[in-house]
Amino acid sequence: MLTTVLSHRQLSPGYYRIVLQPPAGTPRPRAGQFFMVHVSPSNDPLLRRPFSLHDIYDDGSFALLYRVVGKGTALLSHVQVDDTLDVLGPLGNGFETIQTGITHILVGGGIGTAPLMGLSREIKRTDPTGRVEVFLGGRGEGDLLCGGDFELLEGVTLSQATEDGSCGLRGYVTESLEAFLKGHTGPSVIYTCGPTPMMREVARIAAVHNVPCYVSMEEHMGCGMGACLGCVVPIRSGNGDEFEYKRACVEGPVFRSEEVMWGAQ
Amino acid sequence: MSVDTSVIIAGIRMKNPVMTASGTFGYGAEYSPYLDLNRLGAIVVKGLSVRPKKGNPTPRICETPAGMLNAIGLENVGVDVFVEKKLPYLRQFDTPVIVNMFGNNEDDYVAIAERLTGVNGVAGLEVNISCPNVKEGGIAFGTDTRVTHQLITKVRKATTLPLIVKLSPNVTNIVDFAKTAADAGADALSLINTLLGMAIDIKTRRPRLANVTGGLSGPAIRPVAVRMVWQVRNNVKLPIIGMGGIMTADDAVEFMIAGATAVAIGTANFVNPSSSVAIADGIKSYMETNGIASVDELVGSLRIGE
Repeated sequence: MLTTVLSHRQLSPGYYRIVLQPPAGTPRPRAGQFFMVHVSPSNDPLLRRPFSLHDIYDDGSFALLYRVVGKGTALLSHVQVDDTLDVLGPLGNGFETIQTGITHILVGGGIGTAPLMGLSREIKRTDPTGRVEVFLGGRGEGDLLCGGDFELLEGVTLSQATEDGSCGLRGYVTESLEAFLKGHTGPSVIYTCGPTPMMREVARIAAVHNVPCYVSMEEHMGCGMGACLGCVVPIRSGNGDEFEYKRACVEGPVFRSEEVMWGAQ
Repeated sequence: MSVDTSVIIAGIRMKNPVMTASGTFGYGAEYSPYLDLNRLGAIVVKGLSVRPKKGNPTPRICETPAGMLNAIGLENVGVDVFVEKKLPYLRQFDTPVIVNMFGNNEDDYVAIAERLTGVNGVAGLEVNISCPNVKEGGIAFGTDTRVTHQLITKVRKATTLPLIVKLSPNVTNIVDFAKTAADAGADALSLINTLLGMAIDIKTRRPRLANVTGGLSGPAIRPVAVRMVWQVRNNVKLPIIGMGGIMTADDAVEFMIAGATAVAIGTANFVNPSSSVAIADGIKSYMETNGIASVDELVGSLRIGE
């Protein structure tokens, strides 16, 4: 489906936000869903690239946030306003229906912050009085994304951590999360997206504190629509070490953290 | 002009020569939101084994220049679940369903062939003797002509269904395997399966696939596939289903000129899920533009010399 680029801007070195017109006839995307973008009509790069929904605006236009990591994203970074872009989506399940009257804890690492912006807006819409705690982490200041945007939302508290100490607390974002949970009581839910080691640690902390936790898995994706079976995640089945592979693109990308068999093969 | 795009392969009548390549089209339903399954020549479903198969660890895929490597490991629901849960959906379409199948040993192949014989909605079998990503099923049967002959002979005896044999390009001379399959009773040949490949992340010095090696597909392999179709066409009488990196109708026509009666669309389905229908339309346009009344006139029409 062809769509038009409405705006395209570098947020910090290597990180971009692209805003697109919704393709005709597609449903309104939900936080946690993603799009497959064909960055070039040539055969190299060949496959589409998956990007999670970053934000969605009142007029239906939506934003993707990405980091330039290879040839595909480098090409995408050169796309201009008013260019057309071939996108497939929205795809995937998105985050679970949001509960109200609880503390919503969002944990993002680097580019994994992308889906949390739209999620915070969804939470504020369905649970206006709910408390939203956003924890962002990255290697350095340049990897902390959209902090200002989160702070603009009413009732959202932002905590940031960097490994090099260039912004916010020095250390891992998971340390901030753990410190927060130690002093926190009352019903809460955690949503997280970021590098796998970070999400695995968030899942561990969530289990220790008995807080339900949803993880948005990042896997190599071929088609985004359930056919190639490239993006599978090992999901617990029964007791013990048993698992079955589920497709991140169809059954995910969002899973309950206790279902994920981290490191199982 | 009016053109006839229909073809008959292994006794299976197709409204056009465009099929889907096994392993790239799920069980068909995955693609329903993107195209009308009635518009395909045939649907070839994901390879089935006797029992469900979990597949390989991740990463299972990676992109390479104009292609991709995969080592999915033949993950599938198993033949019984396919018949009970997946096939009923496909019966509503006016499109033949061909079941790709593989086994760990000859008995497995025979068991699947027997299980599917007489099942309403199964038009034919594609015997996979060429998957490079699993130790047992697949390639072990496709890289030794004696083993190939014995296997295909047994499967032939086990079923009255049309039998298509999918050949591996990872052999010294694919013509030997094409002849062997023909001698053993195959009705048609699919070529080619993926080429065995490998890619390494030089930062971590780790292979990009958990399986270390994988099957290369996409436009990168097309010239190899076209060459093999042409070689087999010159030496074996069986109809050929050509595949390997077909992205457009022009690519498909190239295979047909080389000698393929039909073509299968694989990796292109991942990039543009409606590719197969666009390619079927494009083949028809090519025939109209070039005054080709039937597919027969196109197949093997390569001109050399003069």
